[in-house]
Amino acid sequence: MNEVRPGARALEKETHSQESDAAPLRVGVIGYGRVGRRRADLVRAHPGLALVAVAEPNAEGGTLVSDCAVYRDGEELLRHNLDAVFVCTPNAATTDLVSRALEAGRHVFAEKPPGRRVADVERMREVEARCPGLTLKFGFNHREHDSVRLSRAMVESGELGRLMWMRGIYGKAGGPGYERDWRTDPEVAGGGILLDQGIHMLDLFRLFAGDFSEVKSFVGQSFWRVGLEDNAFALLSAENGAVAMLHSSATHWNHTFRLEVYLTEGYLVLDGFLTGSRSYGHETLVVGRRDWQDADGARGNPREERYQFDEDRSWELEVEDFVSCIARGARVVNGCSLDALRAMELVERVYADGGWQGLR
Amino acid sequence: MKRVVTGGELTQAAMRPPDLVDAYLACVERDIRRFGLSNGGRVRGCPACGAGDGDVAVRRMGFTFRSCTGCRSLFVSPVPDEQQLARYRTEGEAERFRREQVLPATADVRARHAWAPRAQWVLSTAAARLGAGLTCLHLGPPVPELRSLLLRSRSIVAALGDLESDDTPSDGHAVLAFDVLERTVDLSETLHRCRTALRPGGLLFITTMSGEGFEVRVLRGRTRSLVPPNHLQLLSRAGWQAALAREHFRLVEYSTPGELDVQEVAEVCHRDPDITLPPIVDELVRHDDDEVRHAFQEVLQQAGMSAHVQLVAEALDE
Repeated sequence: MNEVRPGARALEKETHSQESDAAPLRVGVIGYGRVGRRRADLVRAHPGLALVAVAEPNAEGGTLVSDCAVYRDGEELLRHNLDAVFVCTPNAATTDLVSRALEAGRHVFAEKPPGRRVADVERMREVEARCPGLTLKFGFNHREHDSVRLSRAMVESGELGRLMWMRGIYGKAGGPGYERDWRTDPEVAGGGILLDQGIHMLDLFRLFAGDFSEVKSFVGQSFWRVGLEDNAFALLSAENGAVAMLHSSATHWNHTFRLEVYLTEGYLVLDGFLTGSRSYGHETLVVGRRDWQDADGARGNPREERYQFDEDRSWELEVEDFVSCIARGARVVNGCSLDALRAMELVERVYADGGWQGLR
Repeated sequence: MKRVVTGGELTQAAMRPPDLVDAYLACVERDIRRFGLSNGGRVRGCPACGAGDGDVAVRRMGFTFRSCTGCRSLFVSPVPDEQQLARYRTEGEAERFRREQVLPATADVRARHAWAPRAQWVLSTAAARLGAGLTCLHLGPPVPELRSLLLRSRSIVAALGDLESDDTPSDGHAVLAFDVLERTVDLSETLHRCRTALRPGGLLFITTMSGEGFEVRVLRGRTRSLVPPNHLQLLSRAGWQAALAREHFRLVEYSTPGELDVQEVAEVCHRDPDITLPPIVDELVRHDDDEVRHAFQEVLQQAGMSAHVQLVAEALDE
């Protein structure tokens, strides 16, 4: 579990202003799909970064972008004079590219999931250990959503008591063409909806409860004939006694993000999530308190406050944190390789316990 | 930008007991006459965005509220001078009645529905944005309940001082200005003092009454919540953005979590049959179904149209 650092945000800002005097870091982006383009835009907008190259196998004659060098291959891009690399590729390519980038002396930001299996993360961590001056961060951006940041602050303040249980639902519809998406190709993706999206919820469970010691699950197909799971149900027990329930789904016809966090003195309900498509609705956080002195509270209808968030700064904050860690030579706190390893271990344990429920 | 909506069962009668409010407002009117607060005064432009003289919007208790043509804030003009207002506050019957009668009679409900949520709001917002071990400063009369609630969480608020003391620091993490900025004669100067006490990135927490809230817009001068010596300016959202930007703040949260607009409008209309509301509004505020009235209040909160505003501004590098 990550600690709240005193004056953390203020410190980031100080670092940012110091960095602005230095030459910007030369950055390459590998993988220029939807995610890669979004990262590239953030790099362009950051005063401490300069986008100098992108790599995308579908690039045709360098017409993909006009403001930097374009390669068809990530390996080629790594030969460019760079300080840092964003790896935004399908899962199968992540491990090799992250490892080679580190070996080439580049700081690395890699999107989740961190490869396809635990062994991939272990391999990246081995390389990372051999490169002590380099920063490696994984994109678990949900940690940086405002509803999550506020919830963490409330949980860590102790004001709501001890964490007892959590219930998380993260579901999408798959949608037209889902069967043809690389995310449903077992060889490229390595896992289904749990690895693609459920891993975020597992990471959030860890953020609030720490590590889990027991995992029970059902995993399988309900609708999509793609060779990977489209639903995963898991029950996890944390070392501190907290219990978490997960439902990760690609048959959730109404896109849903909902995380309920119940503590001895109150509760937090994160409902909806701001994304690029806005298909997960408004991002809200409901805060309620166990209050049996109040008549309504005693009847199970306590006063609630609902926080609504209008902007998603999570991607920006991740990039800012990455730059800040590089500038200060500081260890990554959110999305470090150990977070990636632990999240991936949970994914594998959910797969291992559940057995496979085939489509009937 | 974050917004807050509040659910609960707060009633108008509990927060503002009608008999006490009537007696208090009678005291206010006597004090206004006694101290000559509505006689003359300084004509001014919009204290929020600086635009010139606005249109006359509301007359109440001898005061004229103008609506800014630039930002839609409401402001009293002419405004009484500071010395007259100081006498009203220190020597007046109304303030004494409020301290000795109204506040004790509503202490429990205020602790529960005002101070506790505000303390929780400050603690969670400050911790999420700034971390722990914070130095906070309070602007306005001391509130022991708030102080105790904030300091109970020692890991977040390490110290809570008075903004107006002689040894005010210039690197505070947060300033709390609850229900005070609407009554200051010089809003810019007060905001400047708040900014001076904060480090860059520090947060200013404000609660106040809205200039574009449902209650004021529907009832105009008949709203009992509007008490001119205490409400010299009621800013709109655009007004807050302008006033804060001028003093090197950036608005990062604007919410109207008020719970009483619908009840207040229904109550005033019940007492005064001469008031005619648009039929659909009348039907909503007097609807038989509690759920409909609650839902209407929640829509006002969501739309930023409740009378009670809370906002957070971040101090920028000057």
